[in-house]
Amino acid sequence: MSDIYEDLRPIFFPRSAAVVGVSQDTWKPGSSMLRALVRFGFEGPLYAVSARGGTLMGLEVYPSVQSLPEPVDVAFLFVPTQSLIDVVRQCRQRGVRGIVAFTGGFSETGTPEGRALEEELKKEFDGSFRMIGPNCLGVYSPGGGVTQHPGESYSRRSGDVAFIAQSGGLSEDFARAAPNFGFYCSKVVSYGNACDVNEADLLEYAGVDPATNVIGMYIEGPREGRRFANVLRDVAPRKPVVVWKGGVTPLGAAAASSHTGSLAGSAEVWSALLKQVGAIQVGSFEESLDTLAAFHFLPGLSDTRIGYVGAGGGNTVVAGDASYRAGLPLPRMSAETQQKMAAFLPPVGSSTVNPVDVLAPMPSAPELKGILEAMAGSGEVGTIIVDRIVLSKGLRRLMHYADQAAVEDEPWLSDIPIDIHRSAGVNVVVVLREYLDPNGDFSVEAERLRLREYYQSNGLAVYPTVERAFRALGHVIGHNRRGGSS
Amino acid sequence: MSATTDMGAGAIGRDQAIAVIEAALARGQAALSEHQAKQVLTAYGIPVTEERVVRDSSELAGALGDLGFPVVLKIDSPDILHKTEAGLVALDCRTTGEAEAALDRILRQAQEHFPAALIDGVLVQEMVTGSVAECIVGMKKDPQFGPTILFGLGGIFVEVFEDVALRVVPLSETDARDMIRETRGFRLLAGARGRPKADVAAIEDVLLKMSRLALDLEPYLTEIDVNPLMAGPEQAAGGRPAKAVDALMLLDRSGQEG
Repeated sequence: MSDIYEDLRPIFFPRSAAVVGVSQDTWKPGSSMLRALVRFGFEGPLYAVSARGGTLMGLEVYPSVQSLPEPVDVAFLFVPTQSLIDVVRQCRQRGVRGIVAFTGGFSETGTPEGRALEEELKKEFDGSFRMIGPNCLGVYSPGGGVTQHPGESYSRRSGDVAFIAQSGGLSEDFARAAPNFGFYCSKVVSYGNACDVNEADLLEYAGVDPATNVIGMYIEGPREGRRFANVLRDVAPRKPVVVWKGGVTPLGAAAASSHTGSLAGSAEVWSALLKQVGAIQVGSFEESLDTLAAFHFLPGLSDTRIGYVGAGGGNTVVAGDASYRAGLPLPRMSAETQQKMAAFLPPVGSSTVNPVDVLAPMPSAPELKGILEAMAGSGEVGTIIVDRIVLSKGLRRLMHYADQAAVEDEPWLSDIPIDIHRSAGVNVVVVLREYLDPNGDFSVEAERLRLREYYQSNGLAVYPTVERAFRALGHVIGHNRRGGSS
Repeated sequence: MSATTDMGAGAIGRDQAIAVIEAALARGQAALSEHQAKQVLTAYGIPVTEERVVRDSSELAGALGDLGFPVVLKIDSPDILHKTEAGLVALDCRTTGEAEAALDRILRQAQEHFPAALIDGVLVQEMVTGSVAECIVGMKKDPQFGPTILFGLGGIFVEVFEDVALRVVPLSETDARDMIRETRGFRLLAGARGRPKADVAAIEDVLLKMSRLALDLEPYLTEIDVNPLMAGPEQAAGGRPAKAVDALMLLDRSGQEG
C-alpha cells in the first residue's frame, strides 16, 4: 500500500484518540466533538484534554497533551488560534501521529497576521505526523469510528463513495445527504486550509483506498495545482472522479477568495483539465450526488439505449427532451416490441414508440410487468427508466388512485422493477417524484421514502425527476464510452 | 525505439531553441522577433514559412534569388509586436522593384515611428497560397496548472465568437484530436459547404509539438501566439503541411532581473 495510505491511517482508522480543548460547557465545540465520538461509537481509548482538568462525560480530563498516558493516533484540536501552534508542537513531542485541527484564524482570514501564523504553524511539520486543517470540520470515516464535528448523527454504515471537500459545510451536507441517494461513504473529508494534507494527497489516498470505488470532490482552488493535475491524470482512469468546481463565475471566485483564500483560476482551464484527464465535471450539489449515485449503482454502464416508461403525454415529451439533452436520444422500439407492449396498454391515449406512455400512472401489476418484460426482452434497450408509475398498493390508496382503478391485492407490484433489473439483462432506474406538500398527507411522503429505500437497498438508482435521472446516466455512459475507469 | 529517437531529436531541438532565447535575453529583449520565434518553432519541427532576414538591397537580391516570387516583407524587430497595425508589412510583392520599394519604406517608417526599437532588418518570406483555413495556436501559462495550449480558427472565430479549445500540457494525441473537433469552426476544416477539406492531422501534429515546446521552454516563455497557422489541404488533395506564417513569443525575464 502506498505511503499516503499508511500516512493517513492514524486519522481514518485511529486506535486511540484525544480531543484537545474540551470545556465543561458541553455545548462548546471540543465537548460536543467528544460527545459525537462517544455516541458515534469510536471504539478505542478516547481522552479529553483541557488545562482545567477535572472530569467530563465520565472521562478524566488530562491537563495537557504531554500528560496523556499514550501517544494517541489522532488528536482533534479545538484550541484558540493563538495556542494552536503550541499544541501542535506538544502533539509532535508526545508522538501523536495524526492531527485534525478545527481551529480557524489562519490564512483564510486574508490578513497578514493570519498568513504569518500559518507560516509559523508549517514550521512544526517535521514529517513525524500528518495534519488535516486548520479551519476544517474534520473527517468522517465510518469504518474507523470517526466522525466530523458535528457528525454524531451521521450514518454508521460504510459505503464505496469518498468525498473530498474544500468546505466544511458542504462536506457535512454531503455526509448527511448521501443515504438519501442510496449510497454510503467510505470517507468524507473537509480539509480546510490544507497546510499539510491537501487536495492532491486526499485524491491520491482515495485512489488507492480499497474501500473507495467512486470519488467526489468540491474544490475552489488547489494548493498544489500541478501535482493535483498529475494525481488526477493518474486516478481518473482507474476510478471515476466527479469534480464540482466552485467559483466559476466572477462573483463565486470573489467569494472563494474570502472563503478559503483560494485563487479560483480560470473556469475554462479547469474545464479543459477535467475533460482531458477523464474526470467528470458537475455544477451543483444535486448533480454531484446524482452522478455519484449513478456511478455507485451502474458503474460499468456504457449502453446508450434507454427505454422510458412513464405516464401522461406531457411527461413523455419532457422525457424525450431530457434524454436528448443528456446525449441519450431514446431509440424507437421495433414494431414487434411495440406490438407486445400494446397488449398491456389501453388502446387509446397510450404510446408504444419510446418514450412509452402508459396513459395513467396506475397500470395493474400484470400490465406493468408485461410492458417492462416486453421492453427488457427486446434487446433494444440497456436501461429502462420507470417514471411516475405509482409503484405500491399503499401509495395508490394514499394518492386516491384506488378510486379510479380497481386495486387488486398485488403485493408484488413494487417488486416488478427489481425483478426486471435482476433477471432480464437490463438495468432499471426508478423516478419517484417528490410532492412535499406541507399541508398534505405526510403518510404519502413516508410511503414514498419507504419505496425509495426499498429500491435503493435492492440495487436500483432512484431519482426525484426524469431530468436528473437522464443527466446522471449521461455522465456515467459518456465517461465509460470515452474509456472510463477500468 | 522510436521513443528514444524522438527524445534525442527533442533534446537537440531544445538546445537549439534555448540558444536562440538566451541570445535574445542577453540582448535585453522582452520578446522574440518573428524570425527568432520561427527558429524556436523550427527547432521543434513545426513547419514555418521559408524566409530570410535582409538589411539592404544586395541582401534582398540574394533572398529573392532563393525564394522567388511572390514574397511578403515585414519588419523584423523584437520591439514591434503588431507589425500589420503599424503598416510595416508588404504583402504579395511580385517584382524586384516592388520588393526594393517595400524594403525602403518599411525600414524608413520603422525608424521614424519606432526610433528606440531594436531592428534586426526586414523579413522576406514566401507568400503562402493555397491554404484551406487560417488557424491560431497559442500558449499561455495558467497560474495553477502551468502552460495551456489554445486552438481556434483565425479571424472572427477567435476574436468575435471566442470559439477556442484549451488543454493543459502535456497534450495526448486524443487531446489534440478532440480540441480541434470541439471548436465550432471545425466544420470549415471538415469541408463545410463544399469547401476543400484541411489536413487536420497536420494541425494535430503542430499542437503536439507545441505541447512539447511549452513544457521544455516553460521557464523561458510566458506566451506564444502562432497566428496564422495556415492549414493546408488534406493529403488526398495533394497535402501540404500546416505552416506558421507569423509567430510571437513573449519572454519570461524574471530569471534575468535582480
